[in-house]
Amino acid sequence: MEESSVNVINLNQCDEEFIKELEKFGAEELKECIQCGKCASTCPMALAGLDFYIKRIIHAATLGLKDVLLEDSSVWGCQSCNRCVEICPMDVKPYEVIQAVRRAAVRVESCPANTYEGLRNLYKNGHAVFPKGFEERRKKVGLPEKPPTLVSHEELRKKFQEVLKQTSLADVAPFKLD
Amino acid sequence: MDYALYLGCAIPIKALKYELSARNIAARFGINLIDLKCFTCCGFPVKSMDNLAALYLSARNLVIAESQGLDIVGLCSGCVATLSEAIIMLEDINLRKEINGLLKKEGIGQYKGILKVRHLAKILSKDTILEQISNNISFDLTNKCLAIHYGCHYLKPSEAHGKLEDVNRPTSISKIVKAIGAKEIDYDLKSQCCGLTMMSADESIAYQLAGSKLKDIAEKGADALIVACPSCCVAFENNQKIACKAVDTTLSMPVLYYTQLMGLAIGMSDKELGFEFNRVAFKW
Repeated sequence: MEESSVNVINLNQCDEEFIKELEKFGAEELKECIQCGKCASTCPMALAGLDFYIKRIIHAATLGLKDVLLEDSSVWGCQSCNRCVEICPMDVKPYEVIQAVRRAAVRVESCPANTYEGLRNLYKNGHAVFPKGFEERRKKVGLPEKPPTLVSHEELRKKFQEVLKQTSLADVAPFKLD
Repeated sequence: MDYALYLGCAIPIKALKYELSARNIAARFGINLIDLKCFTCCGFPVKSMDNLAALYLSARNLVIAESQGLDIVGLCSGCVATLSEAIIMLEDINLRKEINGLLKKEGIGQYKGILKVRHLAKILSKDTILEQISNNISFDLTNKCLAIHYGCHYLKPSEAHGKLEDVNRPTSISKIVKAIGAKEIDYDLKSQCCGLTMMSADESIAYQLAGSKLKDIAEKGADALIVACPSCCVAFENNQKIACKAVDTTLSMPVLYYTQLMGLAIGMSDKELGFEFNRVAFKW
């Protein structure tokens, strides 16, 4: 938010196209928010002391403060715990607003460096998490070296990869899905 | 009882003690966990990139089980929540049509929407199983005080989980602890999340969240923390030293999966339960 001690919001910053973009990305009920603060009362981000927590993120979203939202990393601290979804009296689905901001942010590469790593692994192996050396550990305890997932089926993996390339993930990835 | 076993990304690679203990305890109680080929990631990690692509990933996993006439049993709370949410999203006819278009390209069948997804702990906490457990106790745990961390996705969003239990007063894992004869302790931060996902935004806050919870249960006299999700396990076990440091304490708090706890109570071996992978040693 603004550096000012009273957090004055300059409404000239409002980007109405950005509000529409967020709605398109899943924040469909954004405008229903009445800023009651129930989401903040239950949010681990707020509990942990992040300055820019759920209620304020939604406030900024309703005001279309694109730069504020895309420059701050707080949305990436969301646990996706859904406490806000459970408690919201207006059915705004606050978590979906967080996800919408993230979806806008990844399209301008304004996200933590490791965000795309999972996508790279997912495309290559079908697993977003894929550290080296697991085969040996599995074998040692009597489990099949490779899990019975797509990682064990090369031909079928290729078909999966072809479909992934046809989704928006191919546009979002800052590398070629190949 | 036959179920398709959905392992997800993390468990078969990083949480072998959970995979081992889950497979072995299920077999002991006649729950047939069937491995189907070609499951992938549940879609959760790319939800923050694109909703449709994430839903395609969820749907392809659902279809693989559904086409075999099986319901899914998951071990990771995040995967179970994600797949369950997808079932609700796919009730939208247009969205289902679009996703089925992608599934057709992959050639793995069409989603019909007739299967269920359940967390293994919900199956193992059924009265019929608990009765069998209580009748087969061979290792005394009556003097043990256990803290349960249910975690976020095990319970929420409640709509996706079919409102099977009260999100503020969960009982399923508590019933398991009771059935094995141990004592469950109550603690102030019981509903607090493990903080692991916070790592992306602020590591010190993530450690403080996990550390404060560990400190709380230690002060209430817990002998161990019981978990049901591989992410929570990382937060409390792998990161325990640094998490405790973040709240100015030093602890050696064992962290066990509920499957390991059940197996221990009925006398299964350390090997069957994957105890060699538990990072905080304990002698009970």
